[in-house]
Amino acid sequence: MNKTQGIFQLVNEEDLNTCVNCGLCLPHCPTYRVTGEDIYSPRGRINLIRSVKHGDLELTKEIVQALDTCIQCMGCEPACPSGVQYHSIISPVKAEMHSGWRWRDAPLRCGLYVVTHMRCLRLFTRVISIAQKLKIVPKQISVPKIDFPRPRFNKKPQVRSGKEVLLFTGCVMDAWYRNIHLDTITLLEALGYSVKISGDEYGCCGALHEHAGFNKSALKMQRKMQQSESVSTIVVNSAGCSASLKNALAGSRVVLDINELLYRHITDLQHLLVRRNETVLIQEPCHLRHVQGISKEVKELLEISFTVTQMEDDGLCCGAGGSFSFSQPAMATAVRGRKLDEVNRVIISVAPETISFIASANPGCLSFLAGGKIDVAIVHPVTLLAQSLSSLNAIGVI
Amino acid sequence: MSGVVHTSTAELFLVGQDASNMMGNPAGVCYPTSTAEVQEAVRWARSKGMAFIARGAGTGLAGGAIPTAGSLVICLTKMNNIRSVDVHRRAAWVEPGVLNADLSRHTSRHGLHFAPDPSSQQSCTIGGNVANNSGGPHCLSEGVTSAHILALEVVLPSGEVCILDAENSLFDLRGAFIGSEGMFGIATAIEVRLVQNPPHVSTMVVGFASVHEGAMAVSAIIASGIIPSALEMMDAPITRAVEEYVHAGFPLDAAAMLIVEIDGLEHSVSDGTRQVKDIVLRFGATSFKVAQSAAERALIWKGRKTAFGAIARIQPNYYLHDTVVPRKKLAEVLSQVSAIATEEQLQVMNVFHAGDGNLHPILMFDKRVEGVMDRVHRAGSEIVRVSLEAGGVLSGEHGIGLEKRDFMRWMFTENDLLFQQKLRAAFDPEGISNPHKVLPRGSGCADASSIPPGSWM
Ligand SMILES: Cc1cc2nc3c(=O)[nH]c(=O)nc-3n(C[C@H](O)[C@H](O)[C@H](O)COP(=O)(O)OP(=O)(O)OC[C@H]3O[C@@H](n4cnc5c(N)ncnc54)[C@H](O)[C@@H]3O)c2cc1C
Ligand code: SF4
Ligand code: SF4
Repeated sequence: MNKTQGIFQLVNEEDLNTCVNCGLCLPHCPTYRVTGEDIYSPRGRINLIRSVKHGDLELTKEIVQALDTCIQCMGCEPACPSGVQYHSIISPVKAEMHSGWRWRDAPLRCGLYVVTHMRCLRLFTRVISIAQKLKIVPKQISVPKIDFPRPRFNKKPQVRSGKEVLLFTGCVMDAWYRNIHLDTITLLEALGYSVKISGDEYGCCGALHEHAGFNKSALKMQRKMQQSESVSTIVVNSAGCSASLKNALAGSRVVLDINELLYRHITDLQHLLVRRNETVLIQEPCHLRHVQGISKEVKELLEISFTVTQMEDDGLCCGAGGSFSFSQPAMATAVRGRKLDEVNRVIISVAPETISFIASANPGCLSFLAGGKIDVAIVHPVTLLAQSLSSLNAIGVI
Repeated sequence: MSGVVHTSTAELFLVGQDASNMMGNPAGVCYPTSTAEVQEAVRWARSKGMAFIARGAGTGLAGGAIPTAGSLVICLTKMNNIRSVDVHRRAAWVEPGVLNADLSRHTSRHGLHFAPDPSSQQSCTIGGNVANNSGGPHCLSEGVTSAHILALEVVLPSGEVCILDAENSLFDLRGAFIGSEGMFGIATAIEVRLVQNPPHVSTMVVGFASVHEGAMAVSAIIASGIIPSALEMMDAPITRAVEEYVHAGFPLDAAAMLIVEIDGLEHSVSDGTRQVKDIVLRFGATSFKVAQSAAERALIWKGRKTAFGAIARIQPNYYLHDTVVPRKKLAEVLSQVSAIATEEQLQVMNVFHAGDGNLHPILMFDKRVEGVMDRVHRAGSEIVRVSLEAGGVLSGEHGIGLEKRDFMRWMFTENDLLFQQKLRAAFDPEGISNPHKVLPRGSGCADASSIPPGSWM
């Protein structure tokens, strides 16, 4: 019986065979956690992909739904003792599912078009900022409170002699979170780096497209980055983008997540940062913890200035997932609900008045979580560190 | 969503499977969120003349959760609230879908935990633990699940709800229900006993040049009067597979590795550690290491507890056995197991609860290879046979399920089986609650509907 010949043939057979159906990944999957249903679990998804590939099951709407609702947070991957490379199973599947036109992808495609065209994005941002003032922003779009006009970059690098790095400014990150870029520059300059800005010339890195399975668009943008005559070390302060760029530019550029780079200077930072009498709760972005394996770095950096507490949910996703919260709002909101429960549990157990900030190193998580009604300020760790610089003794400032 | 029966092919395909190699073909699956909804589902199935089967996380290894053709799967994962924790009585009421590790995590703020810690504890449900009377490494000193259940709220196959406990009923029927593998009805709330987290713990990793020496050391440790909280053994191939994943610093040159854990008050822990060290050195230990921090200890246990999963790094499929043999026969049975595997040209690895003689020989294979399943099944039966011949029992903790059902006669007389069947009939006269499990066909068993396809034993 071979009902669906030819589907998912790009998925490697060995990758599928490594899964022994043990179920040890189940609790690490946010969509299984909120539904309790096998069809929304990594084990279930792998089994369905295998069976469709082998022609044992037809690609029904339930299976499409099961695969569409995978956030690709990769929480399942480090949890799997068999070493199943889940990303290499799900990525070609998502790409295949999005290779043709589906009406329901139309809003998502529009959104992705906007972020790759910086002028559109700026216009959209402007409209949103007005809508925010009028309090008429649709719920599905989780956008942070936007400062208008946008703060400006300094025309010239403040440090000229130090080691050069290129700060990748990206799309949404630059349109909505310019402040985080400024904080990043402040920190890097304090450490003696000469910081260049990638700017609109490179725009979006294609991480959002790749994540959503629109691989062709992602490739186009990645090629642009590869051909650029840029500085050899690229620093990225959005976890989703650093994960994607590391992959795309492997071999040609050194791509570092900002937390990784700062961690290399932790002893310098111990001298540069002041101690603050505040507590920070860390929210770990999936693309930092699960995909890049960066976890203790953020904690130890923040511990220089703050008392740090953590959640006890093994880094379970918050539901943002690139454009996931936009394309699958119901599942995303359920997943966020679980995260907020955990946040509130920690806040209550530590004593509500003592937690001053929630730190998250990814724009998607920042904006999606902020949309979920938490009383505590949600900020990028870089902002917290920059604000803790004792202005007197920065090494590099001329 | 809940309260509704799902019938999509994809969902039925998935809930037709668990962590064993078997597969069933149910007619529907539902996800109740309350005791009343479980009752409704049971009554609905009964009114349609359908069998029903409780499902937890589907991590069972003996096919206990494999549904018979045309049955209703009642999946309890959405009933996952911890209803109350009574710190003074050290007890908690939980719903059956609460995950084992979540419960202990939740009660850790009171310095308490649920003692049974199956290796699958991060994923498996308390309901599944009750149904399989599950054990784990720390059950050596604390006892298996049955020692930790204070009361059960059960939906009987008739649809009625009853409470099984020690105080309020004429008979204490908890013991009958625990380990009944879903054949006596569905547990919808469970009162568990919690135990105090130990003030001091010492976790030792010991390497040996042979499995035999390791096994002798295990007997000597127990004979010395020390009661370790856990005593686990892994052979060289599995140690290597696991080390690749966890990097816990396991001795890669050893032929066998022991994990010995002692807990209690500070001085007794340090005395115990010293005594264990003396004993293992006397039995030829080639390496001895004590975990220096909680993180190191956690890594050692992570290595032990993910051992089965790590096997896929060697072969895509495994078939895990679970038998218990008298401790003094450990070394002998292990060499028989390895001979059986060689005879059938299969790779075998061993990881087990050495302290209580609970063996887990794992046969590894690639099921795409022609004829391999026959060899696997033959080797599996042989392993059961040699274990029983050595005076052992059929299952230590994973249950009988479908997998070992037809071995029951090797261990029990017709009369034994008849009484078990009578007990079952007292709870489930129509034979509609997880039929065709545990009790072999022909033991006066009148279960409804047909046997699941793919049940190969
Ligand atoms: C990697 C791995 C390691 C394991 N290690 C161990 C171990 O160390 N020790 C051990 O004992 N087991 C172990 N197991 C086996 C398994 O995890 C346990 O048997 C576990 O208790 C099953 O729980 P579950 O929620 O997955 O139940 P399921 O597999 O879903 O069901 C198991 C049985 O319980 C019944 N059941 C489930 N819920 C209920 C309920 N509420 N009321 C009535 N019946 C119910 C089902 O009908 C079925 O017969 C391991 C499994 C794996 C995959
Ligand atoms: S993905 Fe890994 S952890 Fe999950 S069921 Fe498969 S083998 Fe087990
Ligand atoms: S990537 Fe995330 S959502 Fe998808 S199966 Fe894995 S854990 Fe679940």
